[in-house]
Amino acid sequence: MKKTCLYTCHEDLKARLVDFHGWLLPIQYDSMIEEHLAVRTSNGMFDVSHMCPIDIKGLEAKEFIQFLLTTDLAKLINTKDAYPGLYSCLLNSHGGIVDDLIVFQLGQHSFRMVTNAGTREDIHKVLDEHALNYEVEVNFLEDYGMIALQGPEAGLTLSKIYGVNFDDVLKPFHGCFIGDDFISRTGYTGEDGFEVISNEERIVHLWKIFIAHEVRPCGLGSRDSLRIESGLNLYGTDMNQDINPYECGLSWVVDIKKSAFIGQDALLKSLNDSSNITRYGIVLDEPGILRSGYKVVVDEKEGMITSGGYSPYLKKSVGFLRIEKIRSPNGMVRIRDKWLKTSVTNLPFVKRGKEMINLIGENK
Amino acid sequence: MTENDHVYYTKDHEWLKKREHNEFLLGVTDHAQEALGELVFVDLPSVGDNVARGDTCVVVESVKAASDVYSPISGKIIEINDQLDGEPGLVNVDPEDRGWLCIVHAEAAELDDLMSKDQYKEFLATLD
Repeated sequence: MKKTCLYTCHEDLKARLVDFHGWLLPIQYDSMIEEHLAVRTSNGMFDVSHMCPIDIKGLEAKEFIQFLLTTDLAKLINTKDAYPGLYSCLLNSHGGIVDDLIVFQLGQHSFRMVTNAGTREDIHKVLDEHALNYEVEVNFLEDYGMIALQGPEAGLTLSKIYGVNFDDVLKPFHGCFIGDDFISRTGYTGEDGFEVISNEERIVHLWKIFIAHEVRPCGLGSRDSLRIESGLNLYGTDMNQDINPYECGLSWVVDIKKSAFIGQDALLKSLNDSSNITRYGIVLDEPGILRSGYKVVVDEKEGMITSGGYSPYLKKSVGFLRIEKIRSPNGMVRIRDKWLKTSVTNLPFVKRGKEMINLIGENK
Repeated sequence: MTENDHVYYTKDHEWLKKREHNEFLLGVTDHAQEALGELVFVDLPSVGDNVARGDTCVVVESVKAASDVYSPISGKIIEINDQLDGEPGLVNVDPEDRGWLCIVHAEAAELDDLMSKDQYKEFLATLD
């Protein structure tokens, strides 16, 4: 199994390690619930070195990426000091999602994509196939590490460490270089936060500095409960190569009228014969825990929980529901041999530390 | 006879404590609660339910996963630990006492395959 550059740091902290797409990563250090709450109320950090940054350069880099992704790169507005970023999807020719990723524009002909660990081979294939048609150079960054520093106090912590006021320098979804460190105001928790990509030595050093600033180390367990509360999909769980962006709450990343991109024809077709499958939030109104795979019935339609679990912030169970479009917010979920009451909601459940459960059909 | 002679353990990390009249308290061991992590819900059976040896009789749910607890004996559920409704974490804090799950009234004591405390300790040592 692969180890990140922070492996010995995790061992020193007696983390419980698990196999995550071939990487040995902490699922928790001490308490998942306390790790979760640290991110909601102060700050916490995650080793996300398994993620895969890819640099793409060349005279036709922009055209190449424009063809790869669902989002129109015209949305990347260059600012003087920071590099703009976008959340986007790479599709297959059937419109299914190969990966979700963030792309930054570092220069006129220079881009950085940050992609998932588990999809590396599939992305490699797509990039290799299409790069031949463009004047571009694709470089999968090796020997790099990445830390996500997340929470309402993350900006304060990072500003102290770098001696820069990040509120002035970085707007959300922008990145900048400080020395060798690429710092972006991005994350996967629904809180303010930053992700730092740098060489391995620097990442180990930064981890130790963050510890000294009393940032709480957090594992994959709290990362999962945080992203569910925040309504963020997990690749492989809520989306995959058989699910298109319209079916999993990602319509907003598809600029269907932009220039040609992989999967565009299939998406256009799906808009016409509209499978009508979509994604909602779901809250369990009785004691119990929603889990991935549970069957749900609403308006006589049958759906399925794709992600579910316990929400430490809301102190109840929440999840994502994959089902045809429905009108009623009242559903039933089957847990083992019982049918329990649920409410169907909009997402997210929590945004920037604020609880926001809105049933579908209600005015916000 | 010491108190430990009345407590039996399974390879699935349940414990069974014999009381009078073929009544057995059932719970999970400290090793089990440690491996499960913080429990957020315990799905208990109903009083009066019949359980067969090896059946799932309780499901304990942590933040990450749901895990079955199997009954090591056949019988009828005569009491459940209601306190776990509001306080599932009791199983983490005190798994072999206040964090008990339910009481089974056994038809017959089928205890042959179960381990004593010392045997269970030896078994745990083989797991690492």
